[in-house]
Amino acid sequence: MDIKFRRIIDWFDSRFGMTETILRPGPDYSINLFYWLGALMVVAFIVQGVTGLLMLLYYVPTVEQAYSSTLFIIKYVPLGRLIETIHLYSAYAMVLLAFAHLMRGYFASVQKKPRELMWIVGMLMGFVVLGFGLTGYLLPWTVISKSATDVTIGMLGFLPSELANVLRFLIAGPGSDAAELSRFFDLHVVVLPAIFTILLAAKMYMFEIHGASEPSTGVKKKVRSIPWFPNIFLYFTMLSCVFLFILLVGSVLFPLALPAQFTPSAASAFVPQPEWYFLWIYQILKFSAFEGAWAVLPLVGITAFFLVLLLLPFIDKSKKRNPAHRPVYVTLGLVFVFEVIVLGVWGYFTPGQVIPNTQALVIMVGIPLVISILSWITYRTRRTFQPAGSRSGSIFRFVSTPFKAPLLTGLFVLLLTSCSIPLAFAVNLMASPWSNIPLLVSSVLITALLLYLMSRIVKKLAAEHPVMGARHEA
Amino acid sequence: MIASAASVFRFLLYVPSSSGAEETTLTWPRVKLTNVKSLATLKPVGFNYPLVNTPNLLVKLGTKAENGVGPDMDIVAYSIICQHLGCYVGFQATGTSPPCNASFRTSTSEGYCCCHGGEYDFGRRAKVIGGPPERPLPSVKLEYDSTTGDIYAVGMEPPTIFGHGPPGTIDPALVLKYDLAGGQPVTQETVFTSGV
Amino acid sequence: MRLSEEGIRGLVAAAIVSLMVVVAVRLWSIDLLLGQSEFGVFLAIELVAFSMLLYLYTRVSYLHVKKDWFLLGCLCLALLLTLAILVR
Repeated sequence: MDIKFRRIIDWFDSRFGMTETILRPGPDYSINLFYWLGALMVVAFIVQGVTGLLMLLYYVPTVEQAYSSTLFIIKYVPLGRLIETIHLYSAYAMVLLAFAHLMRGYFASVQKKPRELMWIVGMLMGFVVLGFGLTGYLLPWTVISKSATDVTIGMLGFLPSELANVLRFLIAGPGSDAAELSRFFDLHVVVLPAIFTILLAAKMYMFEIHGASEPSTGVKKKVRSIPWFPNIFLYFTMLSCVFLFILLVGSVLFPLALPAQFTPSAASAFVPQPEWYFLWIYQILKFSAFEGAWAVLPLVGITAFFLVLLLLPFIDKSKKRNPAHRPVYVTLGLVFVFEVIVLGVWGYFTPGQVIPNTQALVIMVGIPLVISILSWITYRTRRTFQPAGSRSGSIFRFVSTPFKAPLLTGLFVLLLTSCSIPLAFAVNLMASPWSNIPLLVSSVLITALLLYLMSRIVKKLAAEHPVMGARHEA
Repeated sequence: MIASAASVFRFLLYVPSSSGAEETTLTWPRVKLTNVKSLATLKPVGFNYPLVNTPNLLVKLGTKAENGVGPDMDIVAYSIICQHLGCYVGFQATGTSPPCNASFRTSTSEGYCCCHGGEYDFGRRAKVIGGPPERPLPSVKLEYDSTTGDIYAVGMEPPTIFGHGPPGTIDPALVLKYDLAGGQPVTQETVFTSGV
Repeated sequence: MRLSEEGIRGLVAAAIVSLMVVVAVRLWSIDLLLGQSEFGVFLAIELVAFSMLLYLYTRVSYLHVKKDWFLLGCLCLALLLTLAILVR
């Protein structure tokens, strides 16, 4: 059996030369799910392409027929409902995988030399994926999707009017619904796939040159080289099968139910929300501090944040990659992840409501504060991280440290809970600081004092109960 | 090469003029909406005006309104594109609850916007009486023919419809120009289309 | 009895392949309009069976076949078959 395979492979190889390039052996650390999140995104993209093309046979992008043709696909086309559902869930999978891929790359600091341009191309692909979500959502022309798109495009109105007009024109056309649908359809089916494919080709090419990035915690001396066929190929095929399996079972268990068609009167009866992956942005825009013309502030802020993320390789100049040596960097990443999740879930439960500033401050300031404190404690008490592949659990030893000194730990917890009271006062007063200056000042001071006491306790804990270092200092 | 990029940009930004013809003087379309006999009190009628993609509601309030027409001076019509962020406004008679906010009761006949709770008093030229909007809804100028009982839509009052020109434009000449841009003007056939 | 032995491996592989063929025949005969859920489940069964087959053949050359993953695959298949009957 293996000899027959070998002959077939050799026949193709002498013509394509692939075993020297794409299909060359890989390092043993790349047999790991986290190295394949991007590849799974390509699988999802292919699924999107295939299901999208199948639906393209029946979908009509005019205002009168968009909804009815989508309904036709779901009700009368053989396998139509399954295809439509797979298309939707694969879209969600792409967004989730993109986020996971970004976060894994961020925490492993892959954007160092020589992979800076891969990072930038990857971020651009992430924006394209969000664009896919935005444009595709409008196409069925349901009450929910058209209203949500109206709100999203309406957000552009807060930018300076010349820029807003140009952007609105490029994205949504001269203003009529028919032009908007037509443009979104064009973007979704032709422009964005073309851009995505070009960016993908660039990324794949660079990946061939640079190979898989080494683990950020360092490599063992001997890195085994795994042949592409059968090992890496079969590992990837297995991963794809599992991914497709999850997609299929999800599509069968939770089939798509199309909401009602869009009419202005139907739209006036409920609160529109963007899709879940935009909810965190929408939530920030709902803060009462950003009402009316102030909405331009978070729009600019979020754009700036995405720009920083895009240009991260040129902003973050340190040569270090190990997360154990990058406390600020890792903390910022954790804050981002938690904030996105919390804001998204919170946004889901508060449709259309304006968020009072006190709550906004608690979430936007309180959570980063808590995460920073926890992260700081972790970095102060750890001694070393083990390199990749060994599982002797210094994390476990770190976690058990507080229980070795119950009194100190108890005192710490007491201080932490009592710290919440002056902190709550301080946060509440920040919305209107001038109303009670003595209280504000004293609560800030008490909070600072308690935090200082907690830090002394942590120092004592770290000094008396060191987490046992491993054989090598990282 | 820069010149070709610039011309591609201009291609992308090309606006066909909405009538397709040369610059003629713009006028408000004049369309018949309904007859006062077939208008039930507090039952709104949706229609498109002045463009096919700008929906409005016509309603007989039952109580005299500031800008009402008809034998009881209580028939009004307003654009239902909210002046805050462009969501669609629904009509709520006095004392009813909007479908998106069951715990809230209206104190007067108003337009209620489910997005952020904006309220417009339909009896007082859609003045804002609650929520975040900063301008009233544009009123549709109605004409009542007392001999036949027909009601016509003949124009739009300032401010401009949301999304048409700079927000809060009140110069009537500019309102005419902006409200009629960005879509096809209605005709008698298209006043009641797309399930409004 | 280790699954890495050539004979056992061949037997198990044959069992999986025959399962895949039976499911493929069933897939061909499902009403594509009414039986979409069933179609999806059987397609998922094919995928799981295919990955189990691949696992059987990769692991021999790299690591020993871990019985646990294989059993997990069989469990998935059993669950999916029940699901197929339920969504009929």
